[in-house]
Amino acid sequence: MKGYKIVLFGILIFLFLLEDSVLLYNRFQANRTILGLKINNLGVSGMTKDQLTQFIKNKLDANLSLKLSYKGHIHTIYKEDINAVIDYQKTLDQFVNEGKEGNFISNIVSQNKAFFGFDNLSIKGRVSKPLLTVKVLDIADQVNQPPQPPSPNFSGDFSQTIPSKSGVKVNITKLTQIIIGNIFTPPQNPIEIPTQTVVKHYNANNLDLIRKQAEEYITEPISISSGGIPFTLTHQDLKSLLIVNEQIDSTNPKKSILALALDHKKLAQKLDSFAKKVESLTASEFNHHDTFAAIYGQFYTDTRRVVDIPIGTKRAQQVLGASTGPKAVYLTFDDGPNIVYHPILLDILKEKGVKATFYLVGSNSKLYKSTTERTIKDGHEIADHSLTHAFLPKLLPNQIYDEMKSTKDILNSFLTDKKITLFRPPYGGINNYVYEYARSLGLAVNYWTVDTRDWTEPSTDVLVQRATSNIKNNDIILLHSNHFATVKALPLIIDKLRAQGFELKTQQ
Amino acid sequence: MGYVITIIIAIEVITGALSAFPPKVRYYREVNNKTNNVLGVESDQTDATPTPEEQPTQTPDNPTPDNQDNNPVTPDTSQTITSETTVETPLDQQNSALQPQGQYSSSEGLNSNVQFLDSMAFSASSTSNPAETLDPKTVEATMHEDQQLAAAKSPEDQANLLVQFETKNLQTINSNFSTNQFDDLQFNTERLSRQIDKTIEAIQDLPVDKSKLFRDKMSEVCKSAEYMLRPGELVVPEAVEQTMLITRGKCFNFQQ
Repeated sequence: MKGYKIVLFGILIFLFLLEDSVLLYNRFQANRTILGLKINNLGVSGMTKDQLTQFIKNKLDANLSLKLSYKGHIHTIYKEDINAVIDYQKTLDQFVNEGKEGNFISNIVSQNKAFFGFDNLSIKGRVSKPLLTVKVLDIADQVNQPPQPPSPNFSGDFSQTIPSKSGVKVNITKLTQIIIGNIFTPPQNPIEIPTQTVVKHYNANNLDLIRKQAEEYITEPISISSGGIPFTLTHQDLKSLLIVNEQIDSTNPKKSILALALDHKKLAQKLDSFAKKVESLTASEFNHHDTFAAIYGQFYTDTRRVVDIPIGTKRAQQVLGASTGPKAVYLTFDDGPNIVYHPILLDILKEKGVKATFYLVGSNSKLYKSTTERTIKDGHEIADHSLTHAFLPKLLPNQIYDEMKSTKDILNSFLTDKKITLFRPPYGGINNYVYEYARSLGLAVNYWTVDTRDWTEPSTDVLVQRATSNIKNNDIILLHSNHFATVKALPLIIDKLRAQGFELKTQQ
Repeated sequence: MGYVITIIIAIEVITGALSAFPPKVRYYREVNNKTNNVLGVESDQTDATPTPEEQPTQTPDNPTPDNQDNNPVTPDTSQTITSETTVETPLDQQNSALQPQGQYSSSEGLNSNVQFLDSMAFSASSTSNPAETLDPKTVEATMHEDQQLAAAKSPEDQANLLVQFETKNLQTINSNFSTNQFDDLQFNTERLSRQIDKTIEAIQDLPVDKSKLFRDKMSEVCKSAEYMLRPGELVVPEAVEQTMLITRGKCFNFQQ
């Protein structure tokens, strides 16, 4: 019994002395990490700042990628995708300070925690907010599957019903945290993308009505023409575009009903080659807003007539801002501002240190004043893109003047030291009045030389290719600030243009 | 034994005191404060956080996805179609290795921005019953209008009321734009679209002179709709854009 007490006492003394040794070591090695400290589960005990720097460079700052998976499909994120940069100064300071700051108790606790292997710090760094936003939304876009309401079998026998199907939704908050928390030290195995299953239960009694409507609406093809080129959506085309949406019953806001709809994205993609043909003949922008209105109008009213979509007159290209210095290109964004994608575009441009020209719609600028102000504050050029985005040659002369003048006034009210000098007619729609009024208002009519047709929501690869292939000095690239495709492609467009030696400038 | 214990206690006190007041603590604290102020995600967020005027998450009609997912749907037996949303077994990410640590956990500004965009992008998929997010005033006004319409006896009275409602609806749509009430915007635009259908129907039952009068009135409504909805298509989520296009399409067709 006595021997047992002596052993116990001996152990106690040993522990006390060990504890004291640790505390004294940590006390007198102020420029080293405390004993037992771990970073991302790797030991960095008693290291100096130089040793730590080397250690982080070798072990943690290697060019590793973070892999995320959903149902076996891997999404890879590289550090450069989101500009993830380790903040060495902050990291080193924190690691060396660990267990040496604060009060007596917290120091003792921290040092003991570290010594017994319970203190595991993580690397400090920063990621680009806009690039991370784009990455997260891109992954969500690929994984998300909206819940499907029940629908007739549009691709086959209409009398058959396809039952409702649950959807999948990415938990973007968690996904963001996972990327942030793991980008510097990605685990070997992919991390599963956090998702939620979204289920909708329907009592689908009005499917018969939808069936009847669908049969009526798709019987006759829909035809339009633009620039003398015809375009037809055949029975089969229309059939392939049909979808069923849930919407509020306009006669009773307490009800949700199922309604027949067109798959807008598919329709936009179908129009792409037609738009390209029209644009190659006219040098104007394809009037996609009126085209959609014409197609929707015919579809939903069950009327058919060949509608001609007016298009701008071909004129000599005006290239402004031509410089004699290094080769330059001009990124231009039409149709803003908005609160959806415009602010992210601004974030990306800021991140990349690029200035661009925004052709703003007057009525949008009135609605979204702060976004307009931020566009100016960030150093971008703003310019007149009409008041309501109307096809100007269709309007009366006084209306044309008002569209141009009122927007110029609205935009000038945001500016203090300079005035609006550029005007871009929507769809490139011009006539002599437009030219004359532009001249009298002191506005230079400005076009573009590269149309990316980003409104068709092409894949990122396609859009980047459109915006960066065969680019010449002083090319003006037309993009829009209201499409997610543009947001996704913009960082790559900037990188690729720079890699080709282009300087990105505003049109002044 | 007593001496040993006394010596140990003395050593403890001395080492404790020494480690509690390290010589460079003041320096470290200063450096730490400076780095906290200058570096990191937080400083990036400050620049990019939407201003109050445009802060989307503050608007009542832009619920976060989580809110949407958790919205229970009140079953309405009168509904032709009932819908219900449930979220099943959210994947649990309790693994501590996946949790952000230190500075990164302060990325709420980023999250709210992403959530807003996500809810916009996902709005077409109707993850909640849209009827629940409407402004009660919108619902009330709708019911009142429908009562008035039901009381109208002749097609002329109906056409008259419809044109009035369409004009009023356009004003409401304009207000929905400025407050980013996208659910209300979609509903009101959808309603305008239906009103246009009804007006065209009512006009067909009128004598020629009256018909011409109401056609002219409808043309004016359509001009205003064209004015308002065209730029509107450029600023709204896709689901709303489609409803606006349908309405514009009907006007476009009427004016051909």
